[in-house]
Amino acid sequence: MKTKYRAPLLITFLFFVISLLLLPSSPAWSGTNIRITVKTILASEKGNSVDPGLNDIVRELQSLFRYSSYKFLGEKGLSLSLNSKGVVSLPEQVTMNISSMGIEGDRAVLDIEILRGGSRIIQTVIKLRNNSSINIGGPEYKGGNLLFNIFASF
Amino acid sequence: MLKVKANNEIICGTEIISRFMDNELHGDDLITVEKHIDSCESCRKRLDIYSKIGSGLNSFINAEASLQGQEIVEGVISRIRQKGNWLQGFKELVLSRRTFIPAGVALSIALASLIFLNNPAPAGPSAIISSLSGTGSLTIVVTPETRQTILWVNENG
Repeated sequence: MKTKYRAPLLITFLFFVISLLLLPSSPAWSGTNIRITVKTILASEKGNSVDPGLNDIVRELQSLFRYSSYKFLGEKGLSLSLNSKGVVSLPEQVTMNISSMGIEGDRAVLDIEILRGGSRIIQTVIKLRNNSSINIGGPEYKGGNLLFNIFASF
Repeated sequence: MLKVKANNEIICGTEIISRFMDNELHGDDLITVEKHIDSCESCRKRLDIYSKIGSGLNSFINAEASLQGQEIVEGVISRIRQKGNWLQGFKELVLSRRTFIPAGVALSIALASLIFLNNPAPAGPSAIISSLSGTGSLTIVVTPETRQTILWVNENG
């Protein structure tokens, strides 16, 4: 190798190594709790507005659904230890039960059940990636539909 | 005032010659001293010696001053040349294609690696549905860009 190429290559190598050291390490299982945030959104065809803070969630939904308005109704946080259950009370006698069933790699295994007045609307087991969310929607409310954004991190 | 003898002749000595050479004598005193030097051999010799010493000293001072000035000028020129060389070297380093191209390529690879490592593409959908049951119709959608999983329930479906 010629001398003139040594300096830039050495600088690049050092730069690369230092950058790798400075990269934020992806958290593995950092404890026994899974932190869950449930945002409740009312999607409807009345109006044409998106509440502040929903843009990241709604941006892609607008190309998939016919709704023109997305209104933020509320937010609730849960911290679930393994094999524990949390309950989120939602509008129109809708209740969401979330149970943590474990961690598989970078995903939290969650059992989610949505009830209306005690009757089950949906029950699902999902593997939700760390620092990601799933949107579950459909229950009717005030001329629109409720949309639940469930975010998990651990 | 000139020092004079009783017979009104001036007293010879270094003081008279020094004052004469330093142009400190005027009027009658100057004329008197000039006449005395013309007639006094020892004073002429003394004046001759002092003149030679004076001219030699002036030559030495001028030469020294000239040398110092030359050194200053040379120093300034040297500084300018050094600065010029540094700039020239920097320009050659930056503008030289031989150094610039591999350094640029290496830097691009490093930056691309950093961007890729910091923003990896989402691996699969945000949520994988393991089991699902419910009333009405159920729809599963994954958004194309951020790979968000959407689960939609149509209670009347």
